Amino acid sequence: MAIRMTEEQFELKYQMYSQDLFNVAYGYTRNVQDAEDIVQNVFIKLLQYEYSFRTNNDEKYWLIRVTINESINFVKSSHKKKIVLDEDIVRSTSDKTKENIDKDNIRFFIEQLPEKYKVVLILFYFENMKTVEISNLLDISEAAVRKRLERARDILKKKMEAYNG
Amino acid sequence: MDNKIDVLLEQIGSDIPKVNPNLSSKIYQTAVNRESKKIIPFFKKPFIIAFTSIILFVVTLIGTINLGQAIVSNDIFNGNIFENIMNDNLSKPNTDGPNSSFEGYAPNLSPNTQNTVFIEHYYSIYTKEYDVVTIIINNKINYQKIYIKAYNLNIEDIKINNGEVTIKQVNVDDELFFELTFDNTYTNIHYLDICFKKDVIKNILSSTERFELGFIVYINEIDKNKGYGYDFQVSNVIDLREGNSL
Repeated sequence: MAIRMTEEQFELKYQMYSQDLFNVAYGYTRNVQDAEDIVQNVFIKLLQYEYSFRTNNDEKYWLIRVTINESINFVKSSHKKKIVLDEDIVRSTSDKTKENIDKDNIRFFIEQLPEKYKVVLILFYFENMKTVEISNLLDISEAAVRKRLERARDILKKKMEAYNG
Repeated sequence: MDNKIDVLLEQIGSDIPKVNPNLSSKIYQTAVNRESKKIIPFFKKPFIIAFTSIILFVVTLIGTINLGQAIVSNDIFNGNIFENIMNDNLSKPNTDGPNSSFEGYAPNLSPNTQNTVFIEHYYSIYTKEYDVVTIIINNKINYQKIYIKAYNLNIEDIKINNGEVTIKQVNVDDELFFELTFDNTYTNIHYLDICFKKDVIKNILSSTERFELGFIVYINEIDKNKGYGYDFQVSNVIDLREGNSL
């Protein structure tokens, strides 16, 4: 296997996709360094990828799918450590504004979501993808995407209500 | 609360920091370093080389046996190919001669077939380097030159599969042709692997069931008023990329 593009070609790819991939990775990890590590691994996989893509969209979807997988693996491998940190975040909120507290809590609750809800939520809100794009990427119907989004919001709402009493 | 959740999610999305724009060079170098580390230790180990050679030999042997079986079982030689290609009766026209499908692409192609060069599609395969269409050419006149190009795909390369052929590329009026000179000393049947860019045929066949590959052929000289068209349906392509053999 060999690197299949020049550094200049790769630079273009990086400029095209890096922020999109970072948004997804950051949605999972909530840590800049971790998200950058994931993005780096994904781009290395692209450089080593043996086949070519028919369209830029195919390439982007492939990159996002790999980023999701890398992010899930990363989160699983550092799960225990993160849970401790997250609980600390939720508890140590006394010096923050109400809005920031809510954001921190939402972030924490997103991480607790089942994977099928989490992924659509991250792609929709953090990656700004349309439901039809998400349905193509995940190979599920658009109706299923909308249903999962609705269900994810519902879960977050209930958790927020429970937290706020 | 519904709206509030929506607003909070959108705010969190817009709060995401910007990625470092200067990482691409570092990532590229890391990938290059990893690749070089992968290759060097592998070839340092004589045992692995010996083992790989044995495996390759066995795979080649099995592939050769399977190819023989495939030729028999697929009736490659039972149809028109033998009739057209092996036929020494020059009066019999080539059934894959000029075709109306070339209208619009090569309007000057001769409406009449010719009888010194017979071309047939043999088989198509996907390899790790190219999508390959192998054709058989029965050339009746020794050292005859033919000029060939595909009209609906770019030929990347032509390799001799069997036979004696001198191949070179010539550029005429900004059109690239492959010039084939046939040496019939030992045989007038020549097998050529026409190599197309990897995945180009695979991608076409993933979106359509019927794909006809068209060739424009000139004999002896490129005279736009004396060309011939051949088109072959490409289907049932054999995939050799994932360790399959013929």
